[in-house]
Order: sequence, then structure tokens, then C-alpha cells
Amino acid sequence: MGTDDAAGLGIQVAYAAGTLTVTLTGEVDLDSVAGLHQAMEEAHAPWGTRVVIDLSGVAFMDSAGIHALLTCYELAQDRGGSLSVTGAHGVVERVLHLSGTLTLFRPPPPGGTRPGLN
Amino acid sequence: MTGMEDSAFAAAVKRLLDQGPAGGPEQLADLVRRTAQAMGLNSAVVFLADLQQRDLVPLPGSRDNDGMWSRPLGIEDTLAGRAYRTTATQSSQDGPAVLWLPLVDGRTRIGVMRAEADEATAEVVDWCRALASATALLVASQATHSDELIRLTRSRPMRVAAEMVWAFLPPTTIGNGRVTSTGLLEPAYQVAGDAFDHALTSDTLHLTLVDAMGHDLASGQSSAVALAGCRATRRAGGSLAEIVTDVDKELAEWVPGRMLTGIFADLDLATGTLEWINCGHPPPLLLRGHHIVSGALERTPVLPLGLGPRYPREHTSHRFALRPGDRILLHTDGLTEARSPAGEIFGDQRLADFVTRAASSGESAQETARRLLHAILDYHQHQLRDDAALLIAEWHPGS
Repeated sequence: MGTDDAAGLGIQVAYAAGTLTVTLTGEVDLDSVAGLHQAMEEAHAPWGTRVVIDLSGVAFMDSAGIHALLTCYELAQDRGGSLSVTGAHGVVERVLHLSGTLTLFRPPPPGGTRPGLN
Repeated sequence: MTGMEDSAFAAAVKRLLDQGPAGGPEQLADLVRRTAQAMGLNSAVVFLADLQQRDLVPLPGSRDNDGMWSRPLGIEDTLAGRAYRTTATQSSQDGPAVLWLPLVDGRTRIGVMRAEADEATAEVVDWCRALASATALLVASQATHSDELIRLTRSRPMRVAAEMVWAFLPPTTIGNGRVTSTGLLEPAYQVAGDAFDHALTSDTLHLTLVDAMGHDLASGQSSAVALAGCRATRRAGGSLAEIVTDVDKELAEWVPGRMLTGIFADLDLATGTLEWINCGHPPPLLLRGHHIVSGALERTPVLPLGLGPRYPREHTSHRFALRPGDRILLHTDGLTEARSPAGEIFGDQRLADFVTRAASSGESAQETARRLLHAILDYHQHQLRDDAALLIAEWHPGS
């Protein structure tokens, strides 16, 4: 399943074995929030799903993109799951680093939750 | 010159200070001219810088013995502009002596005064400086309540969010013998989410720069709450950590669903120790000598503010020892990350090059800030998609 939002963000979702992989291409910004949420909803993944956002196809993101990712993080948590980010590189990795969210979006250790988060 | 007595000079300035606050800008123009004439000058005309500091606009009804002054003068390319840019008196002798004197409110440039005399003796220059100082005070006092004066410095209507942000801003330049701090914002008439604050105590300079997500009234609200929260805690004697904690709480409660990045810093004016907390914001830059010291102030930031109680809140502060003459530059990502119509970003390197060139030319921090924001606007062909804010502080003990 794939969609393209107005700002040119491509969203592909795939569910397998408790993990929902959301692969993004293009640019993540403030306009991406609705599309991202819709894609996560429509995947009908079960309670407790681990969401992995793959950013390897994203070349540009600013702080509004960080906010979009944080809203997805909250959505995943509200459904008893977790969210992590993979494949960030270049500007995107730098923006994640500068926003202080790298640790937050790191994959949880196998079989455990991160300390300090509820 | 006239050989006017000091007592007559004092009487003229006293009359100016007594009568100045009562009228509007037109009365002020008239009063300054008459005061100048009472001092034995031929004339004096007051010009104010527009909001974006591109032009010097004469007060309405300005005139000298040769006629009216109604056209703005460019800051970039006139002698008047040179007086403004350098904050130093400029003179020309083409017939009568003409002096262009900077008008400065505290440390913030607000315009220039053109004074004309038969001869520019040292005494006349001194009197003109005194007249310029008194005039600057009167302009600053009218600016707090005169819409005519505000209108004069604007070239177009301002968005509501921008009106709110500007109302919250401190004077753009502050300082004392040990430190100078200057801040600026663009696009001036449309800003919504970026804001800065700076304030002095006898031993500390406090710096705050924030970037609220989005470009609407709620963004302006978010940065206004951050500035107000910061001030309330700071003025009650709170630490940086307490400021961050309080601002985070207020934002989450009153502007939910939004986030704000920012840097909160204190500079110890005696020792030069900079202490700061970075909440998801681009790192401060250190400008030492003529160069940006790459990564000198880059530390792992804590999370942006206003995210709410589900996120872990830390307030780790960092410290760095400045050397005399060092400059700190805080900026929002709109300055470096925003893209030109062709899709290219201004970038850290261009910023570094610009600041380095400015430093080596020896210009003041406020002039660097003014020119840098113009460069950004020009680069984006005046179509900034994001706010760009800048705060430059220079530690110059013993200067």
C-alpha cells in the first residue's frame, strides 16, 4: 500500500511479525502528519505493534518533520507499542541529532523498554 | 558659531525635554528644529530607521531653511546611512557644514539627525551630540504610545502574530562595558514563531532564543508564553534548569500539541563562563578572532519543550569558558535551513563565511546582524518560508 501526500512524501507500509515498517520517501514536514497517521491507522496493526520508520529514502527534513515523527511516536505508544527510526542519514540524521530526539527514536533493547519512559 | 552661553544651551535642551513628550512626531520635528535654531544651528532634521533597517525616514513635517525633507534615505548608500551603520558622526562641507549624527536609545540605533551649521567647530559638534541624545530619548518615549511614529517606521501592514512577537521583544541591542548583545528577526512583518530575549544584571547577561513550530498565531502565542515564562522565573531568581522546567510546563498546558525549540543561556560577565541548556535547537556558534570554531558549543541537546508529561524531561546544562573578544551566535534553523526558490539551502557554511567576513571588517555586532538578515532575505528573494532569528553576544571585558 502506498500514498503520496501533497508535499511529495511517499509512504509505504508493511506489517510482519509484530512490526509495522513505514517506509518514507521525499520530504517530511508539517503537512506529513495527516498522511502518516492515516497510513498507520489503515494498516490495522494489532495492539503492541512495534513501528519502525525507515527514513533512508528521505533527503530533507526540518524541525516540523521532527514534530510529525513525535506525533507518530505518541500514536504508537497509545496503542501499547513503540516507535523507532532507522536509515536516517545526512541532513535528516543531523536534524534528529540537533533536536535531541535520537535517543528517543532508537530501537528498544530486545525484550525490554527503555528506562525513563512511561 | 554664535558663542551661545552654556546657560542658554541648557535652557534650550530643557525646553526640548519638557515639551517633547507631549506632542506627536510632527510636533517633535518642529521642536527639534526650533531647539537647534535656539542653539545657533541653521537646522536639525530627524530621521528614523524603518523596521527592517533599510531606510531612514524623516519625521513628518521635517524642513530646513531650503525646504521640506520628505523622502527616505537609504541606509546602505548615503552619508546618513553611514552615520547609522557605523554609529559615528559623519560630516560634509559643501557650503554650510552638515553633520549626520546617530540617534541611539540606550544601545539600540533608532535613526539619525541631520544638523546644519555655518561652521562645525568642536563646540558645535558637542552641542549637536547633546541635541541628538535628547532627541533619541524623546523618540524612544513616543515610540511606546504613538501610532503615528510606529506607522512611520513601517512600510506595510503587519500580521497579527508578528505584532504579538514584536510586542514581546526587548530592545534589539543591549550592553554595558563588558558585553554587547544584539538580536534580530525576519521576515519582520510576518514572523510568528521565532523570538529572542536578552537581559542584564550587574554580573550576568541572560540570552534566550526560541523557535515555535508553525507560522500562525498559535506559534506566536507559543513563543510569547516561552518568553514570559522565562522572564517570570528568571526575575524571581530561578536557575536555567528552573526556567526550562517552567517554560516546558506552561507550554504543555496552554499551547498543547505544539513544540518549541530553544536555547537558554547565562554569561558570567566577570569570568566569561557561558552556561546553557539546549532544548532541541541548533547549537550556539562560537566566533573567536575572525573564525567560527567548528563544533565548539555543540553538545547533545535535550528534547524540545512543550511536548507534555509523557516525555522524559532533562535539563542538562553545559559550560564553556569564553575568551575576551569571543562572540556567541545563536540562531534558528530558518537562518540556515530555509531554501531559496531554486531549492538550495543557505547553509552553515554560508553563515560561517558571512560572519567571518563581517568580523574581519571590524563592524559592530548589530551591523553584522542587520546585514546578515538582509543577505538571507536577498538569498531567498524576500520569500522566507520560515522565520529566521539571530542573537549575537560579544564578551569584551575591560573595553
